[in-house]
Amino acid sequence: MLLMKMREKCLAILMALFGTLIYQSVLADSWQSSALSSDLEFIASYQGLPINGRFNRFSVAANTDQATQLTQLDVRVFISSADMGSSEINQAIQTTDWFNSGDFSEAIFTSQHLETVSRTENNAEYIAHGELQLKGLKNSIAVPLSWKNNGSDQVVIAGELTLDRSDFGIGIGDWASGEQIGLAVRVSFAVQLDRTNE
Amino acid sequence: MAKKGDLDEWSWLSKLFHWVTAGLIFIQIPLGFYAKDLKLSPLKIDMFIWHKSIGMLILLVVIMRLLWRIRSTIPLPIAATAIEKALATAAHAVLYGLMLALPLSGWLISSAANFPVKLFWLIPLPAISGPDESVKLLATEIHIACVISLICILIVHIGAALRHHILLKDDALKRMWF
Repeated sequence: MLLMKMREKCLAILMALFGTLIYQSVLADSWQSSALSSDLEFIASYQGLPINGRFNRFSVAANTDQATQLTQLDVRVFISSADMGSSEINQAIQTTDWFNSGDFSEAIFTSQHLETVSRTENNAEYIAHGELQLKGLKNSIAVPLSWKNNGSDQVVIAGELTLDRSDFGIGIGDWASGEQIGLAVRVSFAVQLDRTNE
Repeated sequence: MAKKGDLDEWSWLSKLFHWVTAGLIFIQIPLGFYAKDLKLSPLKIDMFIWHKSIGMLILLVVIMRLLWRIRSTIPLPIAATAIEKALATAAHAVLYGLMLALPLSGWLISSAANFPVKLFWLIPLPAISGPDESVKLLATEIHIACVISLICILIVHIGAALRHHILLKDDALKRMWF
């Protein structure tokens, strides 16, 4: 009799544990960028005039909690996919003076703290505080971003920020002065995220 | 059209246009060959800003020069035979054509290569093409073919001027000088 009760209790606890796990995995979501509907662009400057570029390969992964509050944001950028609209410039920016993609093939952003600026049912504004690792150098950056529900299983995040290329040793030696090629680089993104829960 | 009057020499404005374009072209050609062989560096970029600035200046001067040539009276050609006259006319027409084609093809290379530029570090030059690799390659071929043609025809042009001056001892060169 006692043994039966023990087994039932164990079973009940196990079921409750499973239930919670299932419940959480349904309500805490993970999201993944869709390569086809996402853009990561940057604007450098030359003689004070803008030159546009983009990364053709990158991925964004995000997590949200039960209340679809953004809790984690991770970005990986494949540096060799940088495209500035000219084969000459594209080759130049991959060299050691610039991105040095031979040694540092990826840039990685990992959020450490998601600050909520405003939030309604379908839209939210966040500031993702985190660390950007680029060309082997890590710097804390703050990425302001908007979060828009595009349907229950799809959101679009977008934002822009300015980085200083000298913080990451991009453009060294003769290029270090911002005289010809400006130090400030405007980065902007619009990324479609799809819910990826199993 | 230009009237071919019995003027002894060119107008001072025609002379000024001639020698200004001559001077700029004599800087521009070596500058282009020098800059293209430099390894990518701020120096190379500066040299190309000079090359593009001078090129656009040449384009402007040549357009003004052509307008002036069309509206003004120019001296009769100094040529002994009809065939010499025809050759001289053709050579001058080709010279004008190249002086237009070179800056225009250069402008196209710069635009298609997605290189924005401020002429003389002051005036932003608008792009005449979006970034396009095949346009850039084609424009580069045209630019090179034109500069080689220009060098050849300049040798003929200078050679002919010297022939008139030294061998024929006529006024062809003198009437272009001040």
